[in-house]
Amino acid sequence: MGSFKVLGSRVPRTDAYDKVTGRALYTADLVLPGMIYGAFVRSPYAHARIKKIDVSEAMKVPGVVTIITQENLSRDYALVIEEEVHAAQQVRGLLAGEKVRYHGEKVALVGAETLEAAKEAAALVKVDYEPLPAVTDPREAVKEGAPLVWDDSQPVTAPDGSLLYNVVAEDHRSEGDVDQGFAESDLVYENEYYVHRVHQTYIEPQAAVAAVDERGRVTVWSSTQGHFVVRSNVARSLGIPLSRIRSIGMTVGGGFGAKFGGVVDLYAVLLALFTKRPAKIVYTREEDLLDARPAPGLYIRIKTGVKKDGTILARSAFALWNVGVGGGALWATGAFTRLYNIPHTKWDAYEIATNTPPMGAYRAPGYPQVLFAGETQLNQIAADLGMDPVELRRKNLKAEPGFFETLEKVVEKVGWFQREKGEWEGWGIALGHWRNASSPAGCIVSLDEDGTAKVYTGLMDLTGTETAVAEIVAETLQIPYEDVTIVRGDTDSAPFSPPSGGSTVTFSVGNAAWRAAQDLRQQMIQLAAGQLNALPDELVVADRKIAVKNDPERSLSFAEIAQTALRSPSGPLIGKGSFGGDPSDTNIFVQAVKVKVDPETGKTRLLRCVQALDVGRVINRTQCEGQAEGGALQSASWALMEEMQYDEQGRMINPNLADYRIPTAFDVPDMETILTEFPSRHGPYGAKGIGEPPITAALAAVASAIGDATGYWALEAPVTPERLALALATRQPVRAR
Amino acid sequence: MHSFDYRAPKDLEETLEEAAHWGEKGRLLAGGTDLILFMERGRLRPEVVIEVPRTEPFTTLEETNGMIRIGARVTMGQLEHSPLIREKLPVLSQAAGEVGSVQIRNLATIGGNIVTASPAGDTLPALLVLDAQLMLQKKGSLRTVPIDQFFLGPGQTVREPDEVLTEVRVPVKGDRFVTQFYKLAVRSYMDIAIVDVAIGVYTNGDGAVEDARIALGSVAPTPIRAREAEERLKGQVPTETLIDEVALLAQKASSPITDQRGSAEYRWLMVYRLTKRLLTNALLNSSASGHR
Ligand SMILES: Cc1cc2nc3c(=O)[nH]c(=O)nc-3n(C[C@H](O)[C@H](O)[C@H](O)COP(=O)(O)OP(=O)(O)OC[C@H]3O[C@@H](n4cnc5c(N)ncnc54)[C@H](O)[C@@H]3O)c2cc1C
Repeated sequence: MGSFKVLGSRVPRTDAYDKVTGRALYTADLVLPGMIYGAFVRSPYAHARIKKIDVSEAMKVPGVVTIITQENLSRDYALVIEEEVHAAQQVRGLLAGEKVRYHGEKVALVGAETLEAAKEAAALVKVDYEPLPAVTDPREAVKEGAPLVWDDSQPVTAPDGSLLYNVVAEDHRSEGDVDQGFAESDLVYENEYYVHRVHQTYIEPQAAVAAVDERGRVTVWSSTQGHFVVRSNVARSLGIPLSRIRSIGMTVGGGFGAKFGGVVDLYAVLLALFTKRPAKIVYTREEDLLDARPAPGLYIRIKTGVKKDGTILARSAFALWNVGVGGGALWATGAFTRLYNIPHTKWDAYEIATNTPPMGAYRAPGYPQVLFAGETQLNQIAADLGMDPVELRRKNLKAEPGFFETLEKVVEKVGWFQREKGEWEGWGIALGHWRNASSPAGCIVSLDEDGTAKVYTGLMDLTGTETAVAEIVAETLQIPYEDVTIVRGDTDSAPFSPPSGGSTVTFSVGNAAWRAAQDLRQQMIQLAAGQLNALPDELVVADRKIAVKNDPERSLSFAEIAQTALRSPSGPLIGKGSFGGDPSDTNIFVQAVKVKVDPETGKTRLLRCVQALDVGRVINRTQCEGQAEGGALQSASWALMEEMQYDEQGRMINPNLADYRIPTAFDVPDMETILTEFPSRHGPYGAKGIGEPPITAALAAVASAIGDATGYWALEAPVTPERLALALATRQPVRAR
Repeated sequence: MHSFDYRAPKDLEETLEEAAHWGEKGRLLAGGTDLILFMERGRLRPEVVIEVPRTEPFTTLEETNGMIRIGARVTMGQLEHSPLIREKLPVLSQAAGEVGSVQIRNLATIGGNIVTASPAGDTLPALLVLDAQLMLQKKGSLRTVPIDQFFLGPGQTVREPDEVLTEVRVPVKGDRFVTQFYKLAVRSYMDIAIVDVAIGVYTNGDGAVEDARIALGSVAPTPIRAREAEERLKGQVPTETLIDEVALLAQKASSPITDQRGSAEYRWLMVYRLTKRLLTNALLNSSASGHR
């Protein structure tokens, strides 16, 4: 590929200035004339029958415009959630009907002239509940006699013959013959792991504004990862033809998988439809923690058979995903087998309904949970065999491009085989991975009269993907990054684009943009060839110019080319690119951490955090490092402090950021990141999707480091100070209190 | 949030005037880092919010006649950084420095921390160890309440609605008074204490403990002093066994509950271990200094 002019640089993000100056427009910033505000009536119970809803007092609050309950919604208004990352579809009512099934579930929606009036009225809606027993832990939910979350659910028979209740979906896969594999093994390890549900904790809570015009055409502005998905959800849920919906994606303050729509957008549209006035809904942090799309929890039992020399012969898993009242987690279960040569593998996975909010995607959905178990267990096995955990990996790792090399980079950076540790210090290593989604996308690139390029895309930028696309176009056209302007379109104005999720955008929209830029470049060369009396093959494109290879004096600047085109029969130069989704490649992520434990309080401090990521090709170095560091930190935080807590009645007891903790800058050591480049066959310039992999391994690495420091292996995440201190005090494995 | 009136008295006199006028309907505002949140959540619904002025005595921070005077509006940030407090009352400086974040400490005041009367208020165990006196003033009268008699329960104090906390007075105890503070929380900053422990001990020339203070936060309905534990130390030359016994007595003084921040079992264990750790640092290790 040679050397690049733009790729691999550290150019600032396209949105950097707008964000640091506060100019970027978020959904909550929108105010439309005549706009009303929405507030929800939410269930205080995790599980209850709704006997009666009385809105009469609430309607008397001055400023109230409407109060919507499931009763005054037509049956066609179902909530359809289609998460393209999961390819999962779910149908639920927009508002609770006969029952509420989780604490915070939406029961009614108030629209009022002011937010204060809406909230006041919401508090005055009288709902008569008959509380029912609730279940929030999948290990309890599968037992006979557990409260049934869905009335019509039937028990299913597990592989061991027992009955499992509250199962909403299941999947069973195997390769080889695990029984034979275990029989041939010298040692067989079986461990149980449990991961609590966690929330994506994006900085900007869910928000949407909607308006309906005189002809009934709907416009919805939202904080979303994909405005095209919002459009299709609104169409399907509310029975509105696609062409009558315009979905506009505003600047997004993070999503991590929870912003594919359905949380607030549908409701803003509903209010607008009911009142014929623009309507706005902005979640509070509490609402977001109670009722958005947090990650599924996981109970998993993993069995691994090894030879004395560490060769893995067989691995199997039995998994119960805590999906709340949602679904879509199963497919991630196989993540624990992907990186290693294992002749015999098998897994049985179930989605278990509990009285908790519907699950959503969370960055590399399901992988951190599964790999917490898979990778921590490998470290336990290594410790038991008296083998270095890196040696165990070297013995079993698949020889795919980049796997070994990326591992060795971390070994080298840490000085792994010379590593030192003081008292109560420990090291952990874990491998993670992801194969980016590859999705249909379109892009248009046009050349302006001054020789600069404009890029029309429908991508939603969460991570700097606009910048990546601009760099790809600049590189392809051989112009500086500053010469590329990105036009962020909405569903009326932009070519189709996939939602930002599954690390798909740089790969997919990047490919479409690369194709569009190539198309434009060909047109420019054709035109220049005619003007310069040369064959296209004789021309070189560089430095905003097209010149004849052996006669550089004969050249046309990009501006001249653009202006010539305007005067010629061909007209303006417009390149088009469409991408249908070519196969992508797995990239590996390697995480090493060092921790120090205070054995008396159970507090764990991260001392070092070293990670290597195969990015395929560095498009923007700063952004690649940012993804690696952010993901590593989220995962480490998952290992140490993040947990949605529920009480006996199933009520969430920490729905605020004081008690649902994420780390502050003071909890984070300097991050040491290494990027490797093993090009993807089909990625633009070889780029691989890099958003997901960084979150997949630190959960296991931190838990393993704690094991290394204390001799106690975490079987439950997060390993809070309390869990660890009590485990050390009672000499039990780290488990729930 | 509900609607309310706002008053900004110019000085102490006007403040007392407003407080007397509005009584239970009024509420004083300092940094607002508790009050505004309470109002947003509907836990407090004052009709009138009266801002404590940034004037003396509310802003006083000085030493006079062996007494350190801290105005009620002095911020956590000031306590953290003031050379006077760092030198003379390091335990208070440390505790204030562990409240919230830099931004919170720029707003949050000592008066607010005291009047909010959260069992987890971080400066409160430090103030208990320091025998702080609270000056409560209302129109026409002034009383001094020792801090260990101020708290009645979570959010409850002996303060009357028209009483304004003007300042906190702390006697300077001198170099022989060694103090320690530990805030146990999950995060390094921006976290509410699972357990707070503050201790203060005087030792005489022979190494015997003359007097001792052990104060605990987040393990009872109010911040508390572990008096039995304090008594056990007095007059004794400290040993490991003695410290262990004292720590067990401190544990006995606490009555923790289980909540989202920690179980009673964990808090119980931590009171013992942290009391022991701090006393060991102060009495048995030569280089006694605050640490976390
Ligand atoms: C993000 C965040 C983090 C926090 N972290 C911590 C922490 O780590 N540790 C901790 O202890 N606290 C913490 N707090 C709570 C809070 O910051 C402290 O309690 C602070 O000291 C309150 O002071 P204030 O000046 O903001 O009080 P305000 O909110 O202004 O007032 C609090 C109460 O005191 C009353 N009051 C104020 N001044 C007077 C006066 N002079 N006379 C009579 N009554 C008065 C008010 O009427 C009100 O009832 C945190 C708060 C937030 C928002």
